[in-house]
Amino acid sequence: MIRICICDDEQLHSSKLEKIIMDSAGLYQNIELDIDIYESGKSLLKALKARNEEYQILFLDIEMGILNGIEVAREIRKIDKNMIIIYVTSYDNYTMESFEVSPFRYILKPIKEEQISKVLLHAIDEVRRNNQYLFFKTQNLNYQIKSETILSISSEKGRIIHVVTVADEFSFYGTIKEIEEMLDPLSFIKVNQGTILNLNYVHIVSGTDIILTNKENFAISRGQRKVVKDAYNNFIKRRIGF
Amino acid sequence: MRNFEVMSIAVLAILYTLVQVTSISIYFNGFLNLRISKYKFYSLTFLAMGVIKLLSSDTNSMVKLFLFVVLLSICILYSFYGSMAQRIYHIIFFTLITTLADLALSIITYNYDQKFEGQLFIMLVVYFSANFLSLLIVMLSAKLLLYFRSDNEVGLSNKECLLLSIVPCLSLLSIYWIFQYKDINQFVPCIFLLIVNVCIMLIYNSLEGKNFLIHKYSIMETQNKYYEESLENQREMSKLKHDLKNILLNIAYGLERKKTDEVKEELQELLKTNVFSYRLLTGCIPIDAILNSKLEQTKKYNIECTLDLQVPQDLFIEHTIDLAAILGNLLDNAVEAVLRLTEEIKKEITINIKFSEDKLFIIIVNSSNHVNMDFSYGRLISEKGKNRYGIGISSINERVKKLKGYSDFSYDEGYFSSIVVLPIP
Repeated sequence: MIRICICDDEQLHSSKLEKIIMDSAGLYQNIELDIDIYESGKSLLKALKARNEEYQILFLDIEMGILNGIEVAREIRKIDKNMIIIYVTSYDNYTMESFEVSPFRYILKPIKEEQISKVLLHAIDEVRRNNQYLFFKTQNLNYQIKSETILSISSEKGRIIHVVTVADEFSFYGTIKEIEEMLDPLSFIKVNQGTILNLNYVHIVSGTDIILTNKENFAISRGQRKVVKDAYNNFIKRRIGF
Repeated sequence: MRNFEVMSIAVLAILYTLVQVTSISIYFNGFLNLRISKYKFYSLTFLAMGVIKLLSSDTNSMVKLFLFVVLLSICILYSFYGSMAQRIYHIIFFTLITTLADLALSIITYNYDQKFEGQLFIMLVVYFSANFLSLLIVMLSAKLLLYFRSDNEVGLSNKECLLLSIVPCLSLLSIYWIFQYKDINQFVPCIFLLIVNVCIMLIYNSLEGKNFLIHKYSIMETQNKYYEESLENQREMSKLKHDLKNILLNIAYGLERKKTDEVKEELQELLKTNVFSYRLLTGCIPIDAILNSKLEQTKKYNIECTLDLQVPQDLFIEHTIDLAAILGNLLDNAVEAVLRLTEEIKKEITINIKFSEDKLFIIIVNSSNHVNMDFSYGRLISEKGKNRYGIGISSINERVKKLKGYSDFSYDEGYFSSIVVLPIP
């Protein structure tokens, strides 16, 4: 079940968008959607803050009355860092301010069915990928962490696995191979014998090294160079909607 | 016994020829670029080296050497790109290493000849082992020399090549002179000659490196100047646009005061500049400057250009010239590739520039003829001509490296893709 919300002060526009989304989803099997519409940023924020609602994808109009889309997005990010925000705007000139919240895409008005459909599918893909979990056991405790929070996984002496997430670090007994099987190959890439990285947290890739957003540097083994390059290229293309 | 001997000789000869072909391949593919298919090259070389084996062992060693050089030359001149002087230098140098290695080992096995006289089989094994060993030495030396080689494509001038060729050439002739002497009188001069020639090769590598640097910096100079001018133009244009409001007010005021002549003059002045052909694309100056100029080109050549731009107009870029140069080179490559299209393929270029997560992503895809993406020798062979090896791409890579970014180029089913990611701190 994917939860989507639309925030736009023009009712006509939000209904149109809702219809396009439902039609697009209907073309494919096993996509279940739940769509909510908010007429102002204020009402959306209220619902989110009250923790009554949680959404995975948001279609957000930038040009709104009292609280414009960019401000709304900023407030949302304080509550939910992972929501996929898709800006809907009439103007194709962008400012740094709007990029601060790491929007998923920009869509220009007037909206076209084909474009919405494409962006929606990419967004759903992303949501699904991010909803995967990594399961492991340490001593007596069972853990389940969301793979979208994992930055890197490294193996020590082939038996001990160290997992670094955005908030924490874990260590447990296991092999890299077992872990590999649990992870989405489009987001996670093996860079050398004992290290798997999450492409979402890659800052830059040079020919021989990868630097993550937490400034950690990992060397890419010779044998993996081409694989890493191909995976990263595909990741970039997906990330910017190519 | 007879048949067994003949068979074993034949098998050993074939094995030896294969190893010889491998050593030739390692050396020449490391220094030069192949222009026929790998398999054609292997077969040709195998044939040539095989022919030499068929000569009887009684033939004069000078004749054998001469034939070796001639057959090797035919193979190399046919199979590889490069100037004549450069290829001849490598042919002579390779012959020299091979001869020296052979000689060194023959001195060692000389004594065995007499010891095992009569026992043909053992002699054969010793003989071929010595030969295999000598080829091993050749391959190792080749690998060692290639290790010190700078990775570039400019090479040496013909004059430099010919001058350097003199040393291995005379060394080869000296070796045959040395043949007259025995044992240590043979051995020591050979070692000296080997050292001299290795030094020459190291000088060759160093010269190659220097030539490339000169070439690269002269190109970068030119590029920098061009992009600096381009950016200056763009800055002037945007300033003008900004001033436009005031200019228009002036004109309106002039018309109000019925100063038509003055107004006419001002309009003339305005129309001389290209302010009306400037298209606001992203609002980001280095990107717009290059895009505007290249888009004019694509319009001229009827190339279909699709733009997908999402860059904040208030994006602050520190290295404007590098960005302009990178984008400029990428687009130049794309346009040139499209213009080289042979068949009735659609001329199209897709330009995707997006800003996300503090990084600028540039993806350019263009329809293209088949591109040989064989990077196995560390060089991309340029389509522009057999002597210009992708200087545009290496310039892009240099600048991307300088900005600590990422770049990748690939060819897939009729389309060439260039991806560049630049961190914008």
